[in-house]
Amino acid sequence: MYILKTNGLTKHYGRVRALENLNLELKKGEVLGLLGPNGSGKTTTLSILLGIIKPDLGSYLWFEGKYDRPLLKVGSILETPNHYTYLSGWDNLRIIAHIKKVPETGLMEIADQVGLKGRIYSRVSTYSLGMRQRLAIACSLIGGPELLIFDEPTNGLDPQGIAEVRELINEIAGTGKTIIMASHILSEVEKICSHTAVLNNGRLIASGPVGQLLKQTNSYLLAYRDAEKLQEVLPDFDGYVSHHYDGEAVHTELEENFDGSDLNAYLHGRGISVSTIAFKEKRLEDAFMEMLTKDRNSSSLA
Amino acid sequence: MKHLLQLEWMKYRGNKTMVIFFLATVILYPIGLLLTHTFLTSVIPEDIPVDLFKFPEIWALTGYVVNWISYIFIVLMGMQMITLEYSGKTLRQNLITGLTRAEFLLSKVLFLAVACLVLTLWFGIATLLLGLYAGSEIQLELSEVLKYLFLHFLMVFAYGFVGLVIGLVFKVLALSFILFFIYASFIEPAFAHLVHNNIFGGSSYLYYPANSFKDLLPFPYYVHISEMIEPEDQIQFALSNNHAIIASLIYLGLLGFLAWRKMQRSNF
Repeated sequence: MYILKTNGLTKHYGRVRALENLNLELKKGEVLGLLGPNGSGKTTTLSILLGIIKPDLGSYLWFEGKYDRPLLKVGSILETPNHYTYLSGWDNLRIIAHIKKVPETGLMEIADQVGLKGRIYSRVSTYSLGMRQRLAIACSLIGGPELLIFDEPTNGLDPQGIAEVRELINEIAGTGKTIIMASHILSEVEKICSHTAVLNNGRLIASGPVGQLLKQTNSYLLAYRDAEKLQEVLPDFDGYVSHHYDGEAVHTELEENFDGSDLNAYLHGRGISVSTIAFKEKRLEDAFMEMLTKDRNSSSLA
Repeated sequence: MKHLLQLEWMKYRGNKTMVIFFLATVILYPIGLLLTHTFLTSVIPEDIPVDLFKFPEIWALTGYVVNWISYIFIVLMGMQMITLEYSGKTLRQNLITGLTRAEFLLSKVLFLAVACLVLTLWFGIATLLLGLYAGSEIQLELSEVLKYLFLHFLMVFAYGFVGLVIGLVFKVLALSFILFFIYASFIEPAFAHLVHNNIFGGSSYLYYPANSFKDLLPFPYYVHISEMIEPEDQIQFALSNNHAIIASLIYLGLLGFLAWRKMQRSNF
């Protein structure tokens, strides 16, 4: 069953392209990580899907059109947590339950689940940012939603808050719920998400299962005191595919029939003795950087 | 409808600013009426046989006094109802939780209507209490009572709704109130009297929105002033009840349409 299908969603703010022809599909049980640099269109996408921004073009369909009021079946946090800060956490939960037209009976259980039971009757204005975020997660869980949307759920939190929220989302993801999570923190997405969609400049540049994006490549990590010289000579190696420098080490991808010893011999012949040459397990961060680099290159060529 | 009213009640009962605006109106009604009684009885010489506090004339006087009080506090209340949702970004939270844009607006209008209804009952009670205090014989002619209660309800609802729409457009309480106050107290009267009246003459200058709402319960003694003016110098000081009602309803309809469009088309 499709939870969400978008068809050509497009949004411009004046001359600025926020989103261009976005086509996405989300199936039941998937945990989709929405990735992209700042301003790539993640929040715009979620805002359109949640009905607070009108798209210029395109359409979307929730739950195959099964519900008249689909947002009642969606729990969401968009950017910062938005609560009635002069009310208690409990009153805020009651308001959300009232909007969703669900009984208040399970609210204390939800407060307990997010670790707020002890402070639930305190005013939200006395809560820390981490507590407000946990309250927002509690609000999103009310009514047993079929889909959860978390937009940058750990933004602005201190390391302890990040760890708490991450653990909480991990727990929720473990229950088999369908989730869309927009995040900058790729390690978080890699751990939690089953699928990813990568946005850049408002365009979808890649999407699919995380495993597919992390498909193993013949990549090496090189460390040398003169990174510039190393980068100069690398492209002349016969098995060279691509490289990038992260400020500390050079990451390079080689053709399948070449390995680290071939590269090392080549570099040695050019008078370069690298201090490290190591086969690299591909991480989501690498895949993400590669996708952005490729997209940037293809955009500049176009 | 009950569901939406309950929702609004949950939001406002803990909001000090809302409570202050509403309670200020409730408290200032009888205080304003008492002060008016004290002032008028001190300035009208005892040998002049004028009883301003007898029924049913007292309704027009009390209506005019509360007009000034609600002009400020109900407008502020209407503005606060909507601007508090902007300042805490709870408007967008309401929408993403599943409340429709139409429901959001309707919930505000319904709550405002109920608050105005409560205030109208209080206006009725305060007028009766003032009548008793002034030693008048209580005469409750149903048509008169209903007429003034209706005029009061329409007036406070109109003020509140204007506040709500301005708050919806300008989003910040202080800015919204300053703009309203400048418009209703200076720009509209100046334009109506100095520009419109000079060009068109007649009484059409009275039909501007703020004046139409104000003239639902106008200064009650224009009739006596008119009696003192020569026939060739006669001017109309205020709209008649019927004209004020019709003009107010038309403006409420237009404001309602504006609010609806704003809610439906805006990005939040």
